[in-house]
Amino acid sequence: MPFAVGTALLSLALTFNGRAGGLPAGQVDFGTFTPPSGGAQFVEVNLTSNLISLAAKLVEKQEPDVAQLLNGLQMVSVHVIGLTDENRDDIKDRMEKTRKELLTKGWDRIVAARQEGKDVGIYLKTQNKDTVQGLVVTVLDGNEHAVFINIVGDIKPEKLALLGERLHIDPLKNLPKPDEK
Amino acid sequence: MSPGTPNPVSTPQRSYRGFYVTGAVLLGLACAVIGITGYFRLGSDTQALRDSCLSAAPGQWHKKFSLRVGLCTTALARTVASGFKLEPDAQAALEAVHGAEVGIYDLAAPAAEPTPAALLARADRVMLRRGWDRIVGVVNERELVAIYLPHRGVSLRHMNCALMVFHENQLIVVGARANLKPLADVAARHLEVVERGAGERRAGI
Repeated sequence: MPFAVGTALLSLALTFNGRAGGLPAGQVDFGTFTPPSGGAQFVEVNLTSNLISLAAKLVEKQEPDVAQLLNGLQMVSVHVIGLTDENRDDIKDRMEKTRKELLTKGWDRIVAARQEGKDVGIYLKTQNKDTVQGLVVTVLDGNEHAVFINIVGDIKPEKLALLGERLHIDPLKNLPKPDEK
Repeated sequence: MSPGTPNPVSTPQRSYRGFYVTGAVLLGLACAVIGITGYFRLGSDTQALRDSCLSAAPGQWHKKFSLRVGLCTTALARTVASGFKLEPDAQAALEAVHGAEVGIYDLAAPAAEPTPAALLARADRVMLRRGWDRIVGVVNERELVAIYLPHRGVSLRHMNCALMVFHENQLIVVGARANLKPLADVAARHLEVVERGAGERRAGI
């Protein structure tokens, strides 16, 4: 009997440990960003599922489709880092490293655009053709800003543009709908 | 027992009664003092947020203002307000707030130029240990805004948050507990009005 209880407790502990240790499939660890010295801009927004579902409740009567979209999200993480002489190389390296890692981990690059000093990359982690588990947007805005965005959850591909519109993520707003491809 | 003879039992009873009355008065006074000074003391989480900033930017900090209204005061305010005919939005705002506290501090003589990065890093560490996550952090030149929410227990009806603003050597810490349901209803009502108006304009009514 004590052996059985011990085994049950051990397996329970391992289950919880396993869950705590691994990130959800669509989540990306960008690492910790520190505000740059010299007064450059720095913005971080980290929204977890409880806060997102709270926002969904606020809009569920007026905009049920947006509420449904928000309810599917687990996390939204936005980092905007002003580039200075001190951090520019480091941040650019981190962005390159992140992009390479995403490709090696089975993410799909759906947008890679370089124009007028802007370098935009959008990556999707899909479970099957119908479900997006995670989304990463990386933007290098000349030598001024770097943007890292990660959205985790159960997102329908046709809702990505709506997501971009509602969360004010410009690169997502202009994504073609799946049937337009 | 003759009428002139003192009752041997009544003397200890009276002394006990006196003891109880004195005790109750002292307890009442202590509660009153704690209650009154409580208006000028921040809650433990907001205090921890403040202390993290004060320690990350050493120098002479001066308290400019500190005020806290708790559950009892806000409940009393709601009860009193229910006797008056208030605007629905004002009524909702009053119903939403279940406690608030604010502290304002000036850094008069900084030992070194305080950096928002150091303040944010220290505040993050302290609040994380207490079970709070930073959901927003904004640094612009020497200004800093950070908002923290507890890991657990966040819902529409029970919302706790802590806010820190550092601007021109002045620190503002705010803590608030609220039930956002009444405010959500107000927002929904206003959205309905806006949508109805837009619909009518589209229909040319």
